[in-house]
Amino acid sequence: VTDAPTTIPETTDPLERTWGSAPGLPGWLTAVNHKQIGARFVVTAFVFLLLGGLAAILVRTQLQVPESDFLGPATYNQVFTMHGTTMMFLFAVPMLEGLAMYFVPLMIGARDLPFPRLNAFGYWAYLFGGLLIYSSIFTGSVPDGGWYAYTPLSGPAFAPGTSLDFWLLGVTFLEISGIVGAIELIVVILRHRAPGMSMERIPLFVWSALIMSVMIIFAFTAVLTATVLLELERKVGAPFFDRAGGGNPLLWQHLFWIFGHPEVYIMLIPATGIVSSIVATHARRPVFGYAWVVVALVAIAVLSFGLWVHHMFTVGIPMLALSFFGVSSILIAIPSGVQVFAWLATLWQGRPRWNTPLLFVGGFLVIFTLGGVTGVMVASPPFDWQVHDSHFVVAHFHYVLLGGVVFPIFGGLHHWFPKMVGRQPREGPGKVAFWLMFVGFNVAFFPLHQLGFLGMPRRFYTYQAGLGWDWLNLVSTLGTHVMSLGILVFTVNLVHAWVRGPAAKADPWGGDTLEWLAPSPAPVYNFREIPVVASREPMWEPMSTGAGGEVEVLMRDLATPVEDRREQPITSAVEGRLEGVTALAGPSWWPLFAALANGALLLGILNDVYVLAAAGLAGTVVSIVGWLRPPDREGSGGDG
Amino acid sequence: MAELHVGSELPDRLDRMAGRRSSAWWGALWGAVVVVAVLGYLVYSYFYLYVTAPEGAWPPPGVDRPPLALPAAAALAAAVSAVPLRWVNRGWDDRDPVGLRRGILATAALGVVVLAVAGAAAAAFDVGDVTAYRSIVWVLHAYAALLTVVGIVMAGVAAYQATTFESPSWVWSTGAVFEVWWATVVLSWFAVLAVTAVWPQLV
Repeated sequence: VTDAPTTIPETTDPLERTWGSAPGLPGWLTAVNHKQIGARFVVTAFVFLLLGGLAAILVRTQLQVPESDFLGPATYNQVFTMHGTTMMFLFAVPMLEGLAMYFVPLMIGARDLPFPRLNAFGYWAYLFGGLLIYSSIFTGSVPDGGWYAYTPLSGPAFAPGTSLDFWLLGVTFLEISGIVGAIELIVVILRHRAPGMSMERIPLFVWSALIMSVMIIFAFTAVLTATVLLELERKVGAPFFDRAGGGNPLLWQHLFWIFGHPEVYIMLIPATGIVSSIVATHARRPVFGYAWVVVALVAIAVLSFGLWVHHMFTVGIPMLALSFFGVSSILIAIPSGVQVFAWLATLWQGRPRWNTPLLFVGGFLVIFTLGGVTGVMVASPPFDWQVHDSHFVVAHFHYVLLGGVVFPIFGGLHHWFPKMVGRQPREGPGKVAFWLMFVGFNVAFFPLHQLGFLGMPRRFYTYQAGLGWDWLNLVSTLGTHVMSLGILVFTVNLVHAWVRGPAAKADPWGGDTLEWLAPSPAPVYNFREIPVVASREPMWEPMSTGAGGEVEVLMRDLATPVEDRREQPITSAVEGRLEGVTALAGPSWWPLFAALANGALLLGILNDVYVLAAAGLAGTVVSIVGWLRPPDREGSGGDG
Repeated sequence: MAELHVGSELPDRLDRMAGRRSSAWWGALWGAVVVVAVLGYLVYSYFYLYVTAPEGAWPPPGVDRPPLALPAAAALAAAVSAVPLRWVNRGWDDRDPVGLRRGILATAALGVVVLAVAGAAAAAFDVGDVTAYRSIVWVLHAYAALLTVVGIVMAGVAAYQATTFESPSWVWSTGAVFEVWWATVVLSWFAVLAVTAVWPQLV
C-alpha cells in the first residue's frame, strides 16, 4: 500500500504533470483534485435526485385516487421515508457542497482545496452512506420512520429489526462527509484566496458557501449526536428517549430540529449564492446592495438556529417559548426579503438576457416568495395548530425547498455546465425543461394548500372518497408527471451536450467572477498564473496584470512548479494579503481505504458482527496513520 | 515579502507557513469546533433530561449524588497534562524537534494518567440501574475518554514524526494541531466534572 500516486501522465506541461492524476481506474480511485471530487458529488447527488424523484412519483401515484392499494401502508411508509431521506441527506446538501467544492477554488483563484485527501474521503463516505441506506432494499429492511425518525416510533420497541439502523448509520456517515466538506470550504475561503481578494471582494456564491459551511458545523453535529444516542438506545438499551427509563422522546425532536431547521437554510443559502451568480452574469451588472446581501446571509444563518421549535408547536410548549419562536420565525422573512429585493433591483437596473439559467432564477423568485409567504403563516402558532401535519405544510416546504433550492441548482447546472464539461448545452431544450418544471411544479403543489385546508393529513397512505380531496389529488399527481418530464428534458439536454454539444468558450455568458478566467473545461491546475485581484468583479474590471509588483511576479513564478510540488498561496483571512506558499497533498489510496474501513465498522455494528466492526476500527486507525505519514521529501505531500 | 522567492528557497517558505499559520492548524481549529459542538449537544441532552426527569428526581431515586473528589482529580490531571503543551508550543515556535517531542510525549503520558483517574472515578460512581441518567453520564465520560485516546494516538504519530524528522514543516504543523486537539481534551474533562459531578451537588 502506498500513498504515492501511481504513474502521472506523460506531458510536457509541468503544471499538468504536477497536479494531474494517474490514468485509468487507479488514477480515478486515488484522485483528490477538487474538480474531480466536486463533479462526483454533483453527479452522484443528481442520480440520488432521480431516485428520490421516482419515490415521489410512487407517493403521488398512491394518492392519485381514493382508497388506492397501489403501494399499501407499509410500502408507502418506506417510500416516503426514502423520498425525504434521499432529498434531504443524499441530494440537496451533497449537490450544493459539490458545486461549492468545484467552483469556490475557481472563484477565489486557488488551485485546490487545502486538504485534498480529506475531500476524497468525504466523497467516499457520502457514497458509502448512500449505498448503505439504499442497500436496505435488498435486505427487506427499508427505513420507514420518515426522514425525521421520530422517537419513540424509531426506538427499539416500535421499530424492531434493522431498518432504522440502516437509516441511523447511513445518516451518520453522510453527516461526517458533510462536516469534512465544510471544514475544507471554510479553510480554503479564509486562507487560500488569490492575493488581493479581501473580504469585501469575495463573490456572493463564495460568501454563501462560507456561511453554509459554518452552519453545517453547528447543525450536523446536532443530528450526529442524536443519531448516535438513538443507535445506543437501539443497540445497548440506553433509554435516552424512553420515558419508562427516565428519558424523553422530545429530546430527539429538539436535537433533530436544531439540525433540521438550519438544514433548510444550509440548502437555501448556497442556492441563493447560485442565484446571485446567475443574476449578476445574465443581468450584466453587479448584484445590487452587495453588503446588504452579505449581511442578510449572515442574519439568516444566525436566526435559523433560533427557530427550530416552530416544528414542535403542537407538542405542548410554554406560551413564552411559542411567542419567541413564532416571532423569530417571522423575523427571518426580513433578510430573505432583502435578498429578493436586491435581485429584483439588479434585474431592474441591468440588461437581463433571459437564458435558461435566468429563467430558473425567475421561477425561483416566484415560487420561493410564495413559499416564504406561507412560511410566515405557519410561523404563527394558532395558524400552525390548524394546519400542522396537513398537506398545507407539505405544500409550504415544497415551495421553499423545491422552488428555493432545486430551481437554483438546475439554473446553476446549466450556467456552469460549459465550465465543467467544456460543452455548451442548448438553450431551446433548456427553456422547454424550465417551463415544464415550472408549470408542473405549481400544478403539483399548489392544490396541496387547499387539500391541507380541507383537512387532508400528511403521511397517510390513502383516504376515503367523497371528502372533496379526489380531484385535487388527481391534479397534483398529473403535475408531478409534467414536472418529471421537465427534469427528463433537462437531463437529456445536458447529456446530449456532454456527448455532442459544441465546444464552449472560456466565458460563454460574460460572467464577472474568476471561474470564467480559466479555459472551459478548467485545467487540473485551474490557472496557469494565479490571478492578483483588484476588484469585486475581476472579469469586468481591468485585471492587475502589469509587470510590476512583487506579488504578481511571485504568482507568475508559481506557474513553474519546483520538484512537482503542489504549491498554493496562503493569504491573510481578512485582507487577502499574500503570506506565503504551502504544498498540498497528492493522490492517495488512503482516503478510499479509510472510508472502506469505516463502512466495515458500521456494517459490523449494523449486523452485530463485532469482529467486522473491530476490523473496521483497526483499519480506520491504520488508514489515518498511513494517510498522515510525512511525505517522502519536504513539500511533496503537504496537508492532508 | 523578500523571503518568499519561489524556487531555490522553497523549504524555507514552507517552513514559514508551518505551525499556526498552516492550513492544517486552521483545519484542526474547525475540527475542534466540531468536537466541542458535539460536547455541547451532549451537555444539552444531559440538562434536558434533568429538566424533564420523571417527578423531578435527578439523580433518579436510589442513586446517590455522584462523588466529587475523583472526577475533580481527573479534571485536575487533565489540566496538569496541558502544562507540557508549553514545551510543544516552544518546540515548534523555536523549531526544536527534541523539545517538541518531549512536550508531546509528556502530555500523552499525563493523558494516560487522566484516563486512569477517570476510570477510577467511574468505577467509584454507582449510577444505579439502566436509566437515562446513567446513560447520559456514561456517554459524557466515554466521549471525553475517546477524545483522550485519540489524542494519545495522535501524540504517538507526532512524536514519531518529530523523531524521524522527514518533513520539518509537517512536524511543526502536527505539533500545532496536537495543541488544538489537547485543548479540547482538557475542556471535555472539565465539562464532565462540571455537569456530572458539580451540578448535582448544587441542585
